[in-house]
Order: sequence, then C-alpha cells, then structure tokens
Amino acid sequence: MQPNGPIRNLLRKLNNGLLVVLKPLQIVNNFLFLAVAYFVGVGISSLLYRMGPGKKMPASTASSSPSEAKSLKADASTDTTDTYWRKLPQVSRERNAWLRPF
Amino acid sequence: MRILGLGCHYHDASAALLIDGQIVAAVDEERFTRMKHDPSFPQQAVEYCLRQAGIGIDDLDAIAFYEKPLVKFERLLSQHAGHYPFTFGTFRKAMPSWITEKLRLRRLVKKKLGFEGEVFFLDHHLSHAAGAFYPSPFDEAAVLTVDGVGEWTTTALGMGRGTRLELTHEIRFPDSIGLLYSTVTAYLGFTVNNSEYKVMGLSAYGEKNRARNPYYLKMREVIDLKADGSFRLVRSYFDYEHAERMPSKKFCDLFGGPPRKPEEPVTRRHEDVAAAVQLVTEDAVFAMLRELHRITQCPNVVLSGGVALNSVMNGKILSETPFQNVWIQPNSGDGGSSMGAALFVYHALMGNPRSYRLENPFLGPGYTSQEVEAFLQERGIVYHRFPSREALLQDTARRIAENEIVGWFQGRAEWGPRALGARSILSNAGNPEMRDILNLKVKHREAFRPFAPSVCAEEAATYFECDTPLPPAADFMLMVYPVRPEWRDRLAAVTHVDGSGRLQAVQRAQHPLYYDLIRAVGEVTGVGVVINTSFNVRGEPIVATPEQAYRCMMGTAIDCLVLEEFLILRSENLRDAWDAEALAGD
Repeated sequence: MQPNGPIRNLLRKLNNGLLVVLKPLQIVNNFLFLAVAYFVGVGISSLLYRMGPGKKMPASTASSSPSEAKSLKADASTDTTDTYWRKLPQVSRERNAWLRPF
Repeated sequence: MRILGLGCHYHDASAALLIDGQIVAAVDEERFTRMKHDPSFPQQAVEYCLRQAGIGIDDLDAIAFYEKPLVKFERLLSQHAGHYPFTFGTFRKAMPSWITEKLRLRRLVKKKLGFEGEVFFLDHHLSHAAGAFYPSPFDEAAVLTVDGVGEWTTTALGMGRGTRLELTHEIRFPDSIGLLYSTVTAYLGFTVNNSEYKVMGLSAYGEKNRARNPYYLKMREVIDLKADGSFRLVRSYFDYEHAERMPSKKFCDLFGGPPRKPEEPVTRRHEDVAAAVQLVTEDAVFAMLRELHRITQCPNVVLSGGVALNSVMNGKILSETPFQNVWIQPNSGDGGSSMGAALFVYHALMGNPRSYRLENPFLGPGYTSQEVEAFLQERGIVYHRFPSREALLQDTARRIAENEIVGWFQGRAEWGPRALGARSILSNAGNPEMRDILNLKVKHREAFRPFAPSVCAEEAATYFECDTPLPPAADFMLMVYPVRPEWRDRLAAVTHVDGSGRLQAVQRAQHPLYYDLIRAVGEVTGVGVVINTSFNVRGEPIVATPEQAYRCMMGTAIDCLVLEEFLILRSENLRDAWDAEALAGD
C-alpha cells in the first residue's frame, strides 16, 4: 500500500458519493436543457417552416425530407411521376470538403 | 501509405487498416465487446488492426470515417421538426449521444486513439460503394447500394472505373427498401437491424407465387414502385420517421392484425407476409439493376448495403437482370463501410492505383499454436495434440461422419457476419436429422431457419443449380441456389423448405485446411458437403478467442473443439459445463 493510500481511498469514495448524489440532479438538468432545446429550438424551426408553405425545412437540403412527406398524397400509388430517382451533381469536391464532417 | 477506416455510432462498428493499397486487417467491434452489432467507437478493433500490422497510431497517414455525421444530424433534426411536438421522447433519447460523441468525432478520435492527423469524412453510401467496388475483381463495374439509411440517401446507383467512383442517382430518406424490410421484421416480432435474415428464412414457407400470395398486392400498396426501380413509400403505413415503432396502425390493419409478439407462434399469415416483402424487395432491386444496366451498359455489377446481404435475392441477380458478373463483399452492411472509406481515400482522393482484391475474407484476429496451448495449460483444460495435419483432417472428418458436432477454430477470423470456416460449428450434412440435432443440442433457434452448406467450389454444380461460372460472392455464403432435386433427400439438413440452400463455395486458396476437411468428409460419407453454422451462443457474436470458443462448447452440446492443432473433448472437461441457453438472447 502506498503511504497516501488511505487518503486517496477516502477521496475516491468521496468522489463516488458525490457522483451518486449529483446524478439525479444531472438527469434533471439534462432533461431541462433538452426540453428547452426541443420546445424552443426545434419548435421555432418547425413554426418557421409551417408559416411558409412550399418552403423547405431550414435545416434540410432534401426534397424528400420528412416534412415534405406531409404534402404527399396519402396513396402514392396514384402518383403519375415517371421516376423518383434524383440525379446527383457530378462535381469534383476539393480535398478540404472531405475533411469536413458536413 | 497507411490509412485506417472507421465506422461506428449506428450499428456494426468496425475498423479496417489499409497499408500501401492492401487491407491487412479488418474486424467488427462486436467480436471484442461481445455485444451483437455493437455501435460504439471501435477502440478494440483499431487496437487489433494496429497490433496485427505491428504499427502505432502515429504511423498512420490518415483516418477515414464512413459518413458525414453533421449531415446525418441535419436529417435527424429535420425529422424532429417535421413532426413537432410529437417527437420529444425520441429527441430526448437520441440527443445526449449526439452532443457528447457523434458530433465530436474528430475530438473523439484524438481522445480515444491519440491521433492528431487528417480525418476524412465520406458520404455513407459512397463508403458502401467503395467497399463494394475497389476490392472487387472488376476494373469497371456498375454499383448499387441499398440499405436502411445513411445521411439522407437510402439507395444509390453509380459507376466505378479504375480508381474513379461516382454515384449518379439516389433515393432519399424516408423512402427506403431497407426500412420497408425492417418494418416487416418488426411487424413479424423480430429485432430490427438484427433479424432481417430471419424474415428472409421465413419467406420460403410463404406463398411465392405473386398471384396467389394474399399479401403481395397489399405489400405493393405501401410502395409506389416505378418501372425504373425508383420508388416511394406511402408514409401513412410507417411510423419510423417520428416514433420508435416502425409499422403504423394502418400497416397493421392492412396485413390483418397487430404485430406478432416474439413469444407468439408463427402462423401461415406471418409466412405469407414475409414472402410478400421478399418478393417486393426482389421486384424493386431487380428493377433498379435493370435500370442501372441500361444507364451504364456495363456487364459487371457490385452491390453493397445491408440489403445486399439478402442471399435469396442475390442468387437470382444473374438470371433476372442483364448483368453477367456480380460481386458482393462479405461484410456488405455498415460493418464493411470502414474498409470502403479507407479504400476511397487511398484510390479516389490520393490517386493511387488499385492492386487489392478481396479474395480472402480472413482478416480478423488469429492465434498461434503457442498462444492456444498456453491458454489450455493455464486453464487446466484436458486436450490432445494432433500429431499431423493429416491426422487432424481424418479424425475431424470421422467425427463429423459419426454425427458429432464439431467446433472449428482455425486461423484468422472472418470479415463480416458469416462464419466461413474459421469460426464455425460443423456437422454432417448427409444426415437428414442433423438440423434437429443441431437445434436441440446447440443453436436452439427457430425451426424455420435453415443451416448453410459448405462445399468445395469445384463440386458446387454437382449439388446446386448454380450460376456457371460461380460468382465469387458464393465464396462468402451470399448466394442462395436451388439444391439439385436428386440431392434434396440426402442433403435434407441443409435444404430449405423451398428446395434451396445458402451455398458457401470453398476455394482451396482461401482456406486450404477447411477445403481439405470437406474433401475428407466426402471421402468418408460419400457426400462432399458439411453443415457450417456460426460458432456462437445464441444472441452473442461469433467467437473471437480460444477462451470464447471453449466457453461456447462448454455452454452448449458441441461434442468437441478443433482449436488449431489441438482437440478438446467436451466429455473430458465437464467441470466447466454451463447452460448457455439459460442466458441466451435473440
């Protein structure tokens, strides 16, 4: 055993005890943070989208985003579109574009 | 040039190491953590890859990640906003891992691996496409990727030429063949992203005639499929965009009742629904392939994505489409994308020529005889050493012929979800009762699921009505073919209810010992086929270490374990016996 073993042991147990005490508080904090992020952040985005019919979702670059799905007919089997393939632009990306996570 | 490919955070996390154009090591993280389809950061897989190559993290030139996390995050936010305010539950569950890990990948790489060099981020389906094209035997090939969803893309068409690879067409979330199949998987009471192969197995019991299957036209109602293979799903039948369940109430009503509970019996209705989704999947994928051929006019095609693991569909590609050659990589689901990411960076971004062909799928960890013997001695396990390779083959063949169940642990582990003769449980395919014996003693799996046969590649056409020449994907157990009628009775243990078998054609160059064993079994029994099923306890990944192999044998009724050059008999080590079934999962 090291000379300061008992002190380290005590500190470790104190730390573990604090974690146990603070864990419920952390869960509440996380819940509150996520609730604000969702009801304010996501809510405003959603509201902005709904106020401007025909506009794309602010965060979306896709034409078949979930929000667009709402405007689709209930039964797509009656759709007269010939194809649903989307052509992808054939542009060569710069090296830096591959280093970005977006 | 050393590039490490990484894939993680959805399912089947993996790592693959490329050195000077050759893949030297590749493995899924689940083999180490023992958690099936483990999505977590592949720390142990990376450590293995580096150890195998004898290099450190600082020796890497770059890391390639298999997708763009921020684009995926954008889709997720868009889903939540699109269905606000009914998605708070899923938002609350999903966000913590995004905030702490998934959005900070570069930091995570630095923290967990200590790597401070360049990290490349590829598109999910481009990684799939690269994982299919670059290791294929083709200089030019059309490319089809089909899975559940990546960032936005669910399906893509493309073309590879030399070192160039381009995706030209796509279909986006929420329209997804993979998610349609997963929805039916959930509806039939199986686990999504795990048990889709069970639906494929069950489909053989249902009505395969499109006109007579009572659910085929209903399945076509939920998807608007165009002649060119493009499609849209009818949203009202699906809840996966905004809830944790997949089929909607309308979907359940259409197919005649609520989702099957896992403990409920499988009925004729379930079999027909499984057959219907299999037929519709084939309709869609074959239409895509015909369109892809029309666009590219190329005779070769490579497939990737989780849907490319559908071996029933794969076995019909050459007969149902104009393509003349097909190749599918053994780990074509998300697990294989780490390899694709590394290869894309090396060839497409850095312009290096191609020299690698994935002919040998044994890229995982292996153990020397010294390491195995040290383990056996340390654990006090009773064992025998075969005096020669010939003795090993003769003794193992005799045991298989006498209907013993043999655990087979030889060489480096397989890349991908299939046991291909390195981590396998083997038994006598010539005994019609072997399927029941295996299920009773070891696998305890659903009665409707077939066992796969391994056969020497040169003899495949003797037993199967297969394509000739045999596509290389058959080496990886990715093609189902009809068993020849004259062999169906003698191969009843590996012949599915519809007369088919999920063939593994073994090439001697890939695994000489396994090839020679099949030959030896043929000499003893007169049937050159063995049953090959994955070496694992139900609910666990395939074994990775001698310790896990031994534990698996002692937890089941496997009779013996041929562990490199050693033979371990269960009957001589009963003090270590336990009941794996008591702890088994799905």
